[in-house]
Amino acid sequence: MKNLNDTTIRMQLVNRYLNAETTIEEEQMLRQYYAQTDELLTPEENDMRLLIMSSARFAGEFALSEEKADEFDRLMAKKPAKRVALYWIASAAAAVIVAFFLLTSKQTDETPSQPQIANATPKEIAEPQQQESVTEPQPIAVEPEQAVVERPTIKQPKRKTNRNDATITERQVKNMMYAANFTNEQVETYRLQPVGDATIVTKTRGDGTSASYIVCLSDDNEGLHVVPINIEM
Amino acid sequence: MESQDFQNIATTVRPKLMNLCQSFFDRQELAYDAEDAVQETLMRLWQMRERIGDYQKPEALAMLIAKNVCIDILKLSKEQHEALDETANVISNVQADQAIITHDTERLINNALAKLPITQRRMLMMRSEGMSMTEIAAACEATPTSAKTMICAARKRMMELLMIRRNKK
Repeated sequence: MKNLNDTTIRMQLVNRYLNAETTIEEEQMLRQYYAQTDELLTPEENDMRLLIMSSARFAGEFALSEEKADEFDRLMAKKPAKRVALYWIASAAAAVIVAFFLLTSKQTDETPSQPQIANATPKEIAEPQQQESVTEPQPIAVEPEQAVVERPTIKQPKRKTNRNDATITERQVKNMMYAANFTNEQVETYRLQPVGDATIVTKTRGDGTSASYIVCLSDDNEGLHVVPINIEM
Repeated sequence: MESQDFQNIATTVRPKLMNLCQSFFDRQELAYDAEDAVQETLMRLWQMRERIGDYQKPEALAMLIAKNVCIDILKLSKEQHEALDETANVISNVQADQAIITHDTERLINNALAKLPITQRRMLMMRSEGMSMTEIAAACEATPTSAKTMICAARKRMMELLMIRRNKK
């Protein structure tokens, strides 16, 4: 304690304190020194005093209480009421945003042959029309070694509108596969309604209830975005 | 309790504390970090190290402390929404000049502390409680070297903030 009255020694200790190299005992010594000293300190050292003394204010007893533990258990036993509601509000908001995005992107796409949301015709999955569109032979300008490729949509030298039609159909099939695996429910029928790059999938269960989702392939065609838009209609 | 004992207990009980605090914060929708609650719990456990023998299982004691910490945080977050000017009323009852100086100093320190990352702030607290670097490391799931580095960074940052504040005056 004595040697801390020597400014040089004190400053060495302070620098070690800043570098977190002091022992707990040395830090305690510094704290005691600054608590008791009436020496006039430089502004820099006064900051250091504040820092070292501030550490002491953290120390304090806390009361360990069984009542608080009981209160904790009581709160944990309660149902988290708001969470489900918030989830569905978020889902509805997401659906609105996605619908807005699809409508906006559609306007700039200039594909007049694509159906608008309002007059899009729902298609039953079993319709032969869909099968035909997937397997329909297309005039393809490909190299001979590429002729064996079974997916005509990849190398189709068609105009944008036609390519989009084929892509939507392929997406519908993928969406259908996803929807079929989405739950273990007994689903009676699926309805697919193409909207721009996405598809509205409505599944009807055996008991007459239905659920709808906006399903959209991700840009890399590796994943699907699914937004529930209404459940248990 | 030996330091090694505390480190062993802290390492064993930490994941369970994290689960407990996380599920509480999720349910109460509190914007607090469960990690902060776990660190506070382990710091309090360390403070009680001499009394751990009074309890059958250190793990049960740690869980009891964690529940207390969670409730304290819940109450604190509620209080923060109420009566922000209460401090002024408290001060008026104390000798005026001294109170203002103390209040200013406290605010200065608290403002600076609030600018530190949570873990750095917690480590400063733990150190001031007298915890060794290895004990702090065990409580914060870090290495003693990184604990030392973070405490060093926190102290230097605090000095910078205090200096900036002083120069503004």
